[in-house]
Amino acid sequence: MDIDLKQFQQAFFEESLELLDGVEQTLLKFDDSSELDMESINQLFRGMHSIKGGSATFGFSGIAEFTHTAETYLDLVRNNERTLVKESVNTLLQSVDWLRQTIATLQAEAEPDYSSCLPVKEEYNVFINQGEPKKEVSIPLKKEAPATQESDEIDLDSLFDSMVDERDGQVNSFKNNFDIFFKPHQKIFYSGNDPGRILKELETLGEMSIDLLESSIPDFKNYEIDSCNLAWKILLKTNFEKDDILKKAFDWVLDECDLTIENISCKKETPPPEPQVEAKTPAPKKSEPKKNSPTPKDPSAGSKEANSIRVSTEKLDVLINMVGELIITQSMLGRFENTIDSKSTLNLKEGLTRLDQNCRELQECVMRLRMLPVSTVFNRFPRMIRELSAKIDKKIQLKIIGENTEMDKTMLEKLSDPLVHLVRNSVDHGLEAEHIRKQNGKNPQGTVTLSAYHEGGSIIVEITDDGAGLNKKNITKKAVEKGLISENEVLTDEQIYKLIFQPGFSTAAQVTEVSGRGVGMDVVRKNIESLNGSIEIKSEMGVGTTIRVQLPLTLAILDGQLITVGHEKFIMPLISLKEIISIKSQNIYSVTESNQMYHLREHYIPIIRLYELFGITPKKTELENSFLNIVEVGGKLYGLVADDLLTQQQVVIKSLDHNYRRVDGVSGATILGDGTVALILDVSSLVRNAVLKVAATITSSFH
Amino acid sequence: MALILAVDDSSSMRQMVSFTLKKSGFEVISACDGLEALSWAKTNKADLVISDVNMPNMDGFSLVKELRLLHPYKFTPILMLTTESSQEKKMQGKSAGATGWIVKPFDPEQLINTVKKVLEARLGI
Repeated sequence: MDIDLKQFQQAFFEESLELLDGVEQTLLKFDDSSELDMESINQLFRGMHSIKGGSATFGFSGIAEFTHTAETYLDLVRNNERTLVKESVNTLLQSVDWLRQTIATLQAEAEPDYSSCLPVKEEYNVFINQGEPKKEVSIPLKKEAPATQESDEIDLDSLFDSMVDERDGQVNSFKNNFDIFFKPHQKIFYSGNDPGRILKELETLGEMSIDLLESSIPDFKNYEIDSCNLAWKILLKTNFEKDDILKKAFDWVLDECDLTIENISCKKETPPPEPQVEAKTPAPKKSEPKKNSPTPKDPSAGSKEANSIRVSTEKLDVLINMVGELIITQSMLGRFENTIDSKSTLNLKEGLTRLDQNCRELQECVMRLRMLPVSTVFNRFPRMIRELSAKIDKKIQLKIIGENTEMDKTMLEKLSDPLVHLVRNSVDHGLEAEHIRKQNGKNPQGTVTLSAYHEGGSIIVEITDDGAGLNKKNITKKAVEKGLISENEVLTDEQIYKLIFQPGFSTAAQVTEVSGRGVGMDVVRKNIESLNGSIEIKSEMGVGTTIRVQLPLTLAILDGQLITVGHEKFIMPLISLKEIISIKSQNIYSVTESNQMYHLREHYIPIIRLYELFGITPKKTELENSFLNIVEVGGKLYGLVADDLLTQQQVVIKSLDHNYRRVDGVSGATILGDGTVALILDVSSLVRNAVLKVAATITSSFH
Repeated sequence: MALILAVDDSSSMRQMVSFTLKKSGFEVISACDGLEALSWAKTNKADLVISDVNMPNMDGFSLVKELRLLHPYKFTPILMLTTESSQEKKMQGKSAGATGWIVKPFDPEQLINTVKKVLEARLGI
């Protein structure tokens, strides 16, 4: 039978990664002032032990050997023969990294470099051998010869000999002849062992004759049902050696029997004693304790696996899509509510209202399936801070608030890298060096706070540091240098801070290994905007900085403003919309014929005619009383012209990519209650396109 | 058909053992630690128990001791799955009341052979 274990490999990988997360979290609890309790140490041991067992079973000996070393060390720790110290905790953390990496490589079906763990292994050996010049306690990991596997060994020499001997008339087809005395101890049944099984096993090893020694059987009145009072003398002709016999038949019961095995094959061949008892099983069969109730063979009784189930995200997405369709259908039906004759259709109306309710609840539930607590991402930060703190020699404390706040899984994954960058920035640029902090009367230890909470229909993630704050002067200076703003331009604080999101912008005097290359913030903002989110900065010099990321709860539905352009309907995402105003012609300033600005309070906002961008015939080209949707892209304000405003509503996002293809300026589509399709505007790409167009017309007008 | 209780905190191990034994015609019920196993065993009878040693909540040795206190499990074969081939651990298992052991890593063939031999003698299968 050839059983393919590959199908369980993926489970093993996932399991191991989870164990490694647990190990890492526990390790991070260790610092100079607080040691780990016994349960934590046991958890560390079990983690490595489990991974070792699984990796050996599935044939990943490189991993098995490495974890074996880690386990050996942890075994000493849990037996109080060694104590965990900062250095060994670091070694363990490095081991976690190596294992994660190696497993990831294996998951990608590539060959890992197993030798890369050797330096870490060496570190363990130092810890293990410290103190007395102890010999390494590790147990050699050789594959145990299977205890019960049949050996097909045929000793050719003895076979020849036996053929020769046979010709001489002697029956001597086996190499060895053992005289075995086997007397199980009385209590042998209590370990669940069965002498019958052992005798059966012996029988398979060669040619056996067996003799029950009756002298050991007590009087009937002294007989105890559950004690074994039998002994046997066995003659076994076999090609196996004594050690094999011990291992194959008696391995489990060596401590609960009297046993002698004597090789008598070198003696003169004596005719084997006549078997007096059936060699199969001992005569008085041990009595099985009477079972009172029939054994319930129902495997579904009681025991179940853990209280959760793994579901592929694909399945979830299908489900969410179906719910989306359901909502669309339901909203279509809802439209008819008003056209229905109320006399005879009160029930129908009620039904529709309830349907609406059910659908919303269902949608919420299904969305939640995809939600994970932000702790899954926040948890990598203690480790990161610890390492950063060591590298750049700043004392940093990390606070995490609201780690149980839930967020859509995909969003969480996409948020991870931007968060890392933002935290690194805080640590590297935000927090001052220790001596400067002391000078300014601040706590020499800097604090970075990560928090997450729900607000309205959004989720907010904030990164706060109590560092130096953003230096407005430096930023403005840099921006002027780079030609992003003119020298005389007056900007609000917020606008100044937003400048750091420009590509290539960095006021860091030195680009460090950690950050400062100026590619980060731009990418961070793009990533967040791609999640339909927004990012804001608040800062105060000498006090600190807070970066506030706002994200929708889900990527599947959107709060939007329905607008019309000509005969087309569009959805303007509310998260991008700052303001809508009714256009008054006197506020329009024409820079050139096609390049107009709208004067709103202290701003001059470029006007972008959506009908032009999309090539739609508008209701009118006069802008008076049309609507200007004011959005912010790249830190600047723009106005998008719409003919009419309709309702604000929540829409289900249908992907254009899947159903048609990617279209610039449009991030998706939805089906409205009346069955028509409304495209959802991708505000940033629209604006960028418009800006490019205008730039092009300006350049061309100079030629 | 013989019913086997398999106990291991590693889900991949449980899956592998369960799959292997089921393929050989045995019925298998799994538990993720000693506590779960014991709770099931109090109201259900397995013909054979296979258990890992290192598990949270209740380890293998404790499980064996507890099982042996249950009347239906006084003589049930209980095999420990252990990566530790040290004599000490084996003896610890025996003194807790285990029948024997299977050393990890094992291949599926070994597992089936051992299980068959143990159950054959008892249930005549």
